[in-house]
Amino acid sequence: MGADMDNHEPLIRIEEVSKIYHQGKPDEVRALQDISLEFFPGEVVVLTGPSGSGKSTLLALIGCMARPTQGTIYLQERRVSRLPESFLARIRRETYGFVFQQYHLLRDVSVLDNLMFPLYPAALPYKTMRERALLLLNKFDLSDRHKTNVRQLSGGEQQRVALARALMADPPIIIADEPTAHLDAELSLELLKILTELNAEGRTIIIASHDPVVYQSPLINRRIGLRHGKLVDDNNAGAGQ
Amino acid sequence: MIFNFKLLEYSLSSLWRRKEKNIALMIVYALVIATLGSVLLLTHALKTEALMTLSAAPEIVVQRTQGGRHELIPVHYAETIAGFPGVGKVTPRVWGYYYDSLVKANLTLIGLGGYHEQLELLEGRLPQAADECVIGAGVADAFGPQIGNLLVLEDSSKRRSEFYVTGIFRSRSNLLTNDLVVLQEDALRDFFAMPDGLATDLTVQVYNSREISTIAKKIAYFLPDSRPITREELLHTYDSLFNWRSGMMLAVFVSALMAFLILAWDRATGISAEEKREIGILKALGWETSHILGAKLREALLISLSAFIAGLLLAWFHVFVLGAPLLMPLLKGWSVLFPTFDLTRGVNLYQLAVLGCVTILPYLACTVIPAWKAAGSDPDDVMRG
Amino acid sequence: MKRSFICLTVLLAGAVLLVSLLFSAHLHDRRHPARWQNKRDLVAALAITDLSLSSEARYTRHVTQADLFSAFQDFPAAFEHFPTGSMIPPRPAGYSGRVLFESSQQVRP
Repeated sequence: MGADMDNHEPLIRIEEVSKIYHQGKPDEVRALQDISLEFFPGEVVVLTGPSGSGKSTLLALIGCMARPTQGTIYLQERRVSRLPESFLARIRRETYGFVFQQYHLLRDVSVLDNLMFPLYPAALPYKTMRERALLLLNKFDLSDRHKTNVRQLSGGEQQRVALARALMADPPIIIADEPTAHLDAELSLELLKILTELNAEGRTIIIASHDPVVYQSPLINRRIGLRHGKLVDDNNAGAGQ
Repeated sequence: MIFNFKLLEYSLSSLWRRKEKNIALMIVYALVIATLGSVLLLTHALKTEALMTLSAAPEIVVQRTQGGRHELIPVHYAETIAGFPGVGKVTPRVWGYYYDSLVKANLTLIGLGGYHEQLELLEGRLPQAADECVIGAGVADAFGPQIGNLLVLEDSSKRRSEFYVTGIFRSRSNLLTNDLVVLQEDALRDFFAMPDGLATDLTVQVYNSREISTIAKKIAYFLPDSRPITREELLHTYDSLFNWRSGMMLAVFVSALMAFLILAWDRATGISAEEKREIGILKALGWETSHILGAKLREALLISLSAFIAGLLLAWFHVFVLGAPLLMPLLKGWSVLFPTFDLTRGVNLYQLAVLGCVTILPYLACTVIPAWKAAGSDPDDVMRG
Repeated sequence: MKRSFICLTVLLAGAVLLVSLLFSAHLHDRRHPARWQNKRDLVAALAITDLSLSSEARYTRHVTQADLFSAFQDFPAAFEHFPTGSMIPPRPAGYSGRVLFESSQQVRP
C-alpha cells in the first residue's frame, strides 16, 4: 500500500525532538525525549504505548499544535517547528485532518455547522464549503442528519461527523488520537476500514492508539512503540526509503 | 477581514446558543441606554425650546438692587438709559406673583403696555380695558374658566378685583405662558398697589446686538444700584440650568450604568468552560487567535450596537411620543401648574457619541479581553484532554 | 448566511429608523420656522424672560431674574437658582463694587 509508493522524500521529519511541559517548575513533565522519526507519504502509522507514554504529545507536535522544546520538525522539508502561530494555524487548517479521542464536536451546533465552522477562516466561498460538507455527510451516511444538533447523535455517528470534519479541507494527512476509545470492536473495525480507504486515496494516516484491534490489525503497515517519552520500537522504520 | 460574513455567521450561532443569557443582557443594556438617552433627549429638547424662544427676549433687563436685594426701580431711570447711544426703547415692566391657597398654585401676573397686535398663539384677544385679562392654558386647566368668564383676584387688602377673560394662550405656548395672567399695565399696578413712579424692572432695546454688553456695563456704571441682565446671560443661565438638571438626573442614573458595567464585566470575564472548550477546538482545527478575537468582537458589537439602537429608539419613544412620563416627576418638583408641552424633537449628536463611547467601548473591552486570554491558550490543550 | 443577512438587515433597519427620526426632527424645524416665530412674537410682546417650567417657587419660576426671595443674590450675575447658583460660578460681571482698604494717617484713641 502506501509504503510501496515510490516517494522517497519523507513527508514529516522529526529530529531529536524533546517536549517538556512546565519547564523549570515543580510540576515539570518530560513528555518526549530525543525523538527522531520520519514519516513517508501514504503510510498508515500507529503510535502505541501505555497512557502517559507521550503518544498524544507526539501527535500534537506532528500536527503543529505545539512547538518542541528542543529539536526540529520538518513538514515536506519545510521547518515548521519555529513558525509563528498564524502560519501554524494555516498549516493545521490546510494540511491536517484531526480526529480527537473525545471527538471534540461543537456542542449544540448542527452537524453541517460542525463541519463548516473550522473552515470559516479559509478563503472558501460559503457555497463550496456547504456542497463539500453535504458530499462528505452523504459519504458517511449522515446526509439526512445535517441539520441535527450533534448532541442528539449516537457515539458512532459522532465519530463519523468528526471524521467528515477532518476531511473538509481535503488534507493529505489524517491524525487520529485514540479514535476507537469509545467504540465497540465492530465499530472499531469499521473505522479502520474507513481509514484504510482514506489511505487508498493517497492520504497519510497517523494514529495514536493502545487498542489491540488497531495496532494488531493487518491494515496497519507501521507500528511505533513509545514508553516514558522515548522511542522503544519501530517495526518498519524507513520502510519507504 | 471586517467583511468576513462567515465569522459573523459563527458569532450569531454562538450568540444564539446562549440566547437566554444574551437576550437578558441585551434588555438590561438597552434599558440603561434608554434611561440615559431619555435624559439627554429631554434636556436637549428643553434647552432648544429655551434658546429658540428666549432669544427674542429683551436685550437687557435692568433691575434695581438695594442692600443687595431686588427693589422696585424708579421709572425715570428709563430716561437715563434711553440717552445712551445705541439704545432703542426702554420700557418699564410691571409683573409679580399671585398665590392661590386653594389650588396651591403660583400665578405670574404680567402687565401689558401698549401692545395690541393679535398674537398667533392666543385664542381670543389681548386685554384692551382695565378689567380685562388673558390667561395661560395651565391657569385655565387648573381653575376651569373659559373666555367670557370673570377672573376674581383678591389683593393684599382683601379687595376683590374682577377681570373679564378675553383670551387664553394656546397650549403650544405652554412652556412660556402656562401660569400667566396678563392684565393691562395700569390695572396691574393698581392691583399690586404699586406707586406710579416705580416699576418692577426695565427692558432695554439695543439696536446692535454686539453692543449689548457694552451698554450693560454703561448702565451699571451710571446707575450703580442697577443690575442689568443681558439676553446672553439669560440664555446662558438656561443652558447651565438644564445642564445642571440633566447632570443631576444623569448622576442618579450613573449608578445604573455602573451596575450594568459590573454585570457586563461579570458576564464577559466569566467566559464559560463551554466557550473555552469551543475556542480550544477551533484553535486546534486551524483558527488563529485573530479569528477568534474577530468572532468575539463581532458578538460584542452585535450585542452592544443592537442594544444601543434599541435603547435610543426606546428613549425617543419615551420622550417624544409618551412625553417622558418617567422623567417628568424629577423635573416637575411639586409645582401645581406644571405645563404640558410638546417637546422639540432633536438630538445632540455629540452627547449621543459620548453615550455610545461610555457604554459600547467598556462592553467591547470586557468581552474581548477574556476571549483574547482564552484564545492565547495552546491548541494542544485540546489534544491533551 | 441567511442568519447574518437577517441580523444585519434588522440592525441596519434600526439604524436607518433612528437616523431618519433624528433627521426628520431636523427637517421639521426647517420646514416650520413659523412655529418658532409665533413663540418668539409672544416672547417679544410680553417681554418674557423665563420658561414657566417650575412655578412652585419664585426663584424657580424666574431663574434669570433677581427678586426678594432669591437664594443667592449677593453676587451680581449669580444664578438665582438653588442649588445651581451655589455650584456653577456666574459669568464675570461686567461691573462690580470693590472692597478697598487703604492706609490712613489718622490715629484714633
